[in-house]
Amino acid sequence: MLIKYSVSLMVCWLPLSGAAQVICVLGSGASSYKASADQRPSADAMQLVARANAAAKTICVSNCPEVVVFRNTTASNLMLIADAGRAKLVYAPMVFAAVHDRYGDAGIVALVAHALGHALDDGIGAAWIDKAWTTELRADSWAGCTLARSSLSSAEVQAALGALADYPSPSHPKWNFRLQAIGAGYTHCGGAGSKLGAPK
Amino acid sequence: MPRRSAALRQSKAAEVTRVEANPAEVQTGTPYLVPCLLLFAGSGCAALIYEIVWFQLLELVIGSSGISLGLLLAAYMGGLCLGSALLARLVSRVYHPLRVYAFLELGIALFGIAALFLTPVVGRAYISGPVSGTAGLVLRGVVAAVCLLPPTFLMGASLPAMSRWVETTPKGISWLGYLYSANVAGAVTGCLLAGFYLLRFYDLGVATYVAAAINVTVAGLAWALATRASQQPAGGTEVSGGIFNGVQHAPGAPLVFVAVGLSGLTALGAEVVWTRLLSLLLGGTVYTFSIILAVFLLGLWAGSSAGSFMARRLAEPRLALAACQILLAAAIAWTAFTLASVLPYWPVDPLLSLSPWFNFDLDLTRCLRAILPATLLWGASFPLALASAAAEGEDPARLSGSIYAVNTAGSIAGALLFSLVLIPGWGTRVSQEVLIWMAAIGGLMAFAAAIGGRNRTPVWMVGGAAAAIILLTWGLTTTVSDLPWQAMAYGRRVAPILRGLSVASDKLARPLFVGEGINSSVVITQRGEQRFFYVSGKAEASSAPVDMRLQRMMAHVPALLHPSLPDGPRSVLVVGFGAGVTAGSFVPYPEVGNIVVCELESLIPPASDEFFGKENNNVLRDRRTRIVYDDARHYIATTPEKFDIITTDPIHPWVKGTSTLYSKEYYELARSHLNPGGIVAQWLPIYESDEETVKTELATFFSVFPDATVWSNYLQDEGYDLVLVGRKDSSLVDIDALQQRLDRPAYRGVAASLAEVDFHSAVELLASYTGRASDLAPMLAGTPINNDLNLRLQYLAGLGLNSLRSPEIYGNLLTYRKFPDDLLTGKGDRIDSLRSRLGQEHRTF
Ligand SMILES: [Zn+2]
Repeated sequence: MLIKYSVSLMVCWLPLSGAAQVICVLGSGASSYKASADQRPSADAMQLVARANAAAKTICVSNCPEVVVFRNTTASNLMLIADAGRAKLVYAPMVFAAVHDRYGDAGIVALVAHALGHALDDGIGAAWIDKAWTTELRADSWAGCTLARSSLSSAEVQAALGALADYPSPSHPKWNFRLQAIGAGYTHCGGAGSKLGAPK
Repeated sequence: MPRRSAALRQSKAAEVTRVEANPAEVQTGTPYLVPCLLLFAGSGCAALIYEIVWFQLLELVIGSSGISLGLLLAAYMGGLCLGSALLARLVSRVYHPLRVYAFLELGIALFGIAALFLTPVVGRAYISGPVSGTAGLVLRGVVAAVCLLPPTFLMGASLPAMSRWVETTPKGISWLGYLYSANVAGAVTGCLLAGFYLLRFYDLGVATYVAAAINVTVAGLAWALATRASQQPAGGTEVSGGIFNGVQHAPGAPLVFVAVGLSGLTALGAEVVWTRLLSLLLGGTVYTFSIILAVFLLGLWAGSSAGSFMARRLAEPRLALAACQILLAAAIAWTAFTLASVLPYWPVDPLLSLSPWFNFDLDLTRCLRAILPATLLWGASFPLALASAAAEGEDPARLSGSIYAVNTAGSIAGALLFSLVLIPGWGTRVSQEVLIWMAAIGGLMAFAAAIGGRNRTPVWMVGGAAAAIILLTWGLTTTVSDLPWQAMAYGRRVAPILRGLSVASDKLARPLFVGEGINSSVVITQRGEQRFFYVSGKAEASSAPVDMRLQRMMAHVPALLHPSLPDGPRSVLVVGFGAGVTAGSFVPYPEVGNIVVCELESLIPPASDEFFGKENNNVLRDRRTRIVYDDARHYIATTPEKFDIITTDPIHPWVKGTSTLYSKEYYELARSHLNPGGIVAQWLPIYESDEETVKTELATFFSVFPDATVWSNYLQDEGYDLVLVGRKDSSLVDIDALQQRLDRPAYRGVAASLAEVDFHSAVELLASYTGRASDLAPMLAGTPINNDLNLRLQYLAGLGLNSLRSPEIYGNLLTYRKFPDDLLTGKGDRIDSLRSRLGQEHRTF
């Protein structure tokens, strides 16, 4: 079973212990997250995470952080948690279902790309990243880079931007700043600028 | 009871004829007693099958509200009571007891088959009469009596008829007890046979024929036996064939009668209370009800066998009876303790089971642990009471008939008192305290009867013993506690939830309302910002987003699909109030002038009004709202009103009795009460369910509404709900017109109500489209339908409630989804957007 869920950057499925720190929360629902309710991710969720993961791996290559994915029905959003030196990605199935309903696969890929962006930002740097950017903007920028490597259609890029705009974290800056950061990452990583544009 | 004691007084005044039994004759009947036991077991088996069948048939006629069930029980047991009391007076002793018995059995078979065909006729006649108020109540009573009294009268008469085969010596009395216990053993078999086999695989018809075949076989064998065995005069000789022949009861017998009457009262009272509590803990499926009843009867059987064995050996059966009743008080306290303080904490999580049969095994174990001790004592009390009341040479038919009649009369009183008065008025804890006191009083009566004849017993000893009994009883009542509210709310999953192993973790929840009604137990809790509403050990509604969405869909989907755009529906019927959110979602519709709510449990609407007023738009305070407390089947069948929308959100179909709101006949009934263009909406859960169950539910709805559509509430964390929509016409739904309607100022409230549950446009609402009957036909080919005669659904759903297959079921449904071009139309962006959303690949997270 373990092997099946080890798509690694990243992804394995192990119980974690020790002090955990929430790094990023996407979505606005008040969280009553309980780590004890962590479950194995669904196959569909893993497939989409793996898609973002494969794209991210083209960026970090051999220097990729390890991220563990969990499904958790007590979470009410998508969270990235630092836990004993490893990153833990916890998704609420309800939120994924809602995102998928509105934005399709690309919406999920985008949110995961943002979360992975935090993990990437922790290990590597890039020239296009503005020193003034907050961690959220840097994560957005890495998400833009990841999306550029995900071979998305124009419509999918639009959907991805829509999802990112719709599920900000409480500490996220205004959308026009975010779009700038995403765009920088996207174009620097080889994405066609024509696919970008204002979402919605 | 008063009539009984009057008869006793009369019989005392009557001439006493005492005939010593001829020792040579004593043995004549005895060799045939063993086959008689088998025959009697057959009668018991058939009787229980009929009981289940007739209740199911008649509930469909007079409804399954608490009052109706009480009337049914009173009629059923009243027939048993009358039959047993009157046989000795109506049937002369000159007839061979086995031939009388054979006739009785044949009669039962005839009435049993007649009931199958005549009940629907009676039902049609009933609907044309008055249905509400006192007149309606009387009419319901008449229906129950007409249908149930004749056959149950014959059933009740069979024990006294057969008992003429024995004599009223201690040994004979012991045989009477064995006959009773054989009857109960048959009943255990019948209960399990009907619940786990006949009704699961066949229907009420087949079950009736099986029972009738048993009756006929028994009758034939009894007749054959009668021709071989000479008639045995048992107690006395025929004096006049009249009313007052025979021997009077033994001195002090009236006290024994009181004791055995109280025993019957506590037995049925406890059965009502414990069935309520156990079905919460085990999950109230048809199977758990069968298991509870079977364990109850099993205890009666074992106890009555032991009691019969003791009866012939004990010099003082009355003291033994007193001891039984006093021990019973302790046993009831044991059950109360086990139910409230032990079983909820047993480490049982039914979701862990790979097969429902392991859960049934656990259910059986828990029932045995909880209720067996008390049922053994009730069982033993019956033969001991026979021995306690018997006078040498008394007509055994009269003896067993009167004991049985008093016991049954007590049972009727107990069933009605506890289900209609004590539980709804004071709750199950007080009810159990009352049970303990009544058992102790029964013990005191038997004790008084035991020492009454003896002048030498010192007064201080009697007084001391009585005081000790009273003190003990008081001590026992202090051990009774309430069922924890968590058990009432979380039901069969209380242990894992208390342990924090489930999503619905208990730690943060606190109860706002806990109530026990005539029909069900209700709990409302607060967890964080959200409120949850539990009925019968199952979450039925909540203010959580997922549930709010479903509850709103149950109103908005039919209301917005209603064809009379732009005017919409005017009158709606909401079946099942729950938290009131569905009914409340009709409030913002400007054209709705009439919201009728039909709810079985009168406890629910006031509680929901108090705790879900915001979510339900205070629908109960809206002047357009009218609430009807009735069984929905009964209400719709008897109301002359018609509606534009009938939306049904009952409790989960695995709960026993609910599947009548998912049957073909129910849908036909609903359709016949629709105005032109009317719509029926039905909630259909696919969580706590399996493929077979969902297929039967869909196939049944589609059989009545061939154009039906399926809509889904897919924002679920642990499963999904479907909304089935059946329409009387097949006009197109124009997405642009629908959006315009939502944009109108008058519809601002409707649009806001939708937006609260994440439907921000007509496209988003219609994107919940999941399929329709014609597209799903290949999936449902050959699926059996749930109808009134088989109620197959409750047997299927009762096996599937711990299944965790909802994502697969939902995913499978979606593989049949095609865009319904001849249903949803529009021009431009909206329809394109809807088309692309419905074309998207489904994923399970
Ligand atoms: Zn972030």
